[in-house]
Amino acid sequence: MNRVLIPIILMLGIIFLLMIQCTVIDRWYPWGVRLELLPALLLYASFTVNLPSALLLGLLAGVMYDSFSAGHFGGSLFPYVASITLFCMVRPIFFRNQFTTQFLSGIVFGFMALSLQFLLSGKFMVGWEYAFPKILRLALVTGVLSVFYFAFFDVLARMIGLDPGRIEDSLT
Amino acid sequence: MLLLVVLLILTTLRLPVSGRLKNTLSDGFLPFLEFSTRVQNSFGFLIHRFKGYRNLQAETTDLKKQLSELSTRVAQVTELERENREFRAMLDFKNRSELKLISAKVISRDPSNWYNTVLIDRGSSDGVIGNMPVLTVEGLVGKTIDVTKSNARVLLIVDENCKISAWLKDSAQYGIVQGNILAGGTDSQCRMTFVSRNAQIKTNDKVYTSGLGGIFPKGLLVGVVRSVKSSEQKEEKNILYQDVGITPAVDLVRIDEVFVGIGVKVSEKLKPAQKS
Repeated sequence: MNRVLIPIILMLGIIFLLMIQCTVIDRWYPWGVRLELLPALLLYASFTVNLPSALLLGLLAGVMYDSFSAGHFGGSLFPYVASITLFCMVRPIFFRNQFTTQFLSGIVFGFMALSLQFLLSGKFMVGWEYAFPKILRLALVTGVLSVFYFAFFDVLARMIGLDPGRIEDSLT
Repeated sequence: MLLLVVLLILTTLRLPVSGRLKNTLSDGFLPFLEFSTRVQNSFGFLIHRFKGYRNLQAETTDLKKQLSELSTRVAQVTELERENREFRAMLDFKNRSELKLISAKVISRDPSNWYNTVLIDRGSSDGVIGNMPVLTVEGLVGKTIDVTKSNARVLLIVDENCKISAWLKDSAQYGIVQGNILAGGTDSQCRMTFVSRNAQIKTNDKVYTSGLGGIFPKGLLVGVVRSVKSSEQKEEKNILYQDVGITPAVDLVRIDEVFVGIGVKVSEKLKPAQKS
């Protein structure tokens, strides 16, 4: 039950957040950046569901993101899948319920995914000096969002009788 | 007992003294009557006030409700007026323009931070193909890139991949306008390159399309000059061109309705000539 329902909830979360990102918050530029809502959710998936489910969620997120974006198809898929794989592998050594873990992992996940996205965007020649501060700000936002997502989705999962982040989920 | 008997006799026999006694007694009770009346009046006034207060409360609630409804109506009317003004301006622009324009709604924006595109609700079924100019009443927005049957993606002029052959009207200088949002931030979202270093360019000079690129027709407003970096300012004396920072004429964050130029209008004067 746990292995099916939580990925389904996260899948719906991905679709919902991407719709919001494309339509609702598209005119809001805090810190001069367009908010990226997906990396934090994919980090939550990496820390919560097993590797195949997390990769499937990454695949869905990447494919959907690329279909809404002007970037080439697959430009977000690889960054998401690579970041998910890394965090799924290292998660047994982290205490997922600590705020600091969630925040710092969010920053690292965001930085990794967004840097790879930028590298694959074909705008590398525009200059790292301009993109780097932007990526840093986005990574910080991802860190903050991660704490929020962990709190929200853990409460949601427990409300429907699920147990998010069981250790046995990380082993398969 | 004796007093009672005397009183009975006096009142029954209707003696003149009984009349005087009655008047004296009524005079004596007058202050009490007055006091009683005053109390009654005051009490009545209070009851009236209380009733009035209750009515007033109901009336206030009613008026508040009416006020809220009217405020909503005023807001709606203001919004409709604004929309009407915009549509009139758009219609006027559409009629005046030499381009054959179709209006389109912006459906969504690019979720990525590295691309600046919007999706519009017109596609190949409406006659839209790639590399068509997209504009608003204020000026140039961008060009269509990926077109499907029902929608098209518009590459905004602030994107680094968008390049436009442009013309500075006041100094009669040609150059290439390129998106610069990543480096330029909010001030100079575009930059104009290949502008001669000897050109006298001032801030607030207007930049128009030159029509040389083949995609954008001549004379569409691109933006205004925000900054000029001459060779002296750049500390590179051997520099050939000036770097001109440009703010787009259209607020690209707040575009809802745009026009796609799907062709050129055939002038009425030209029609008979074409037939002949």
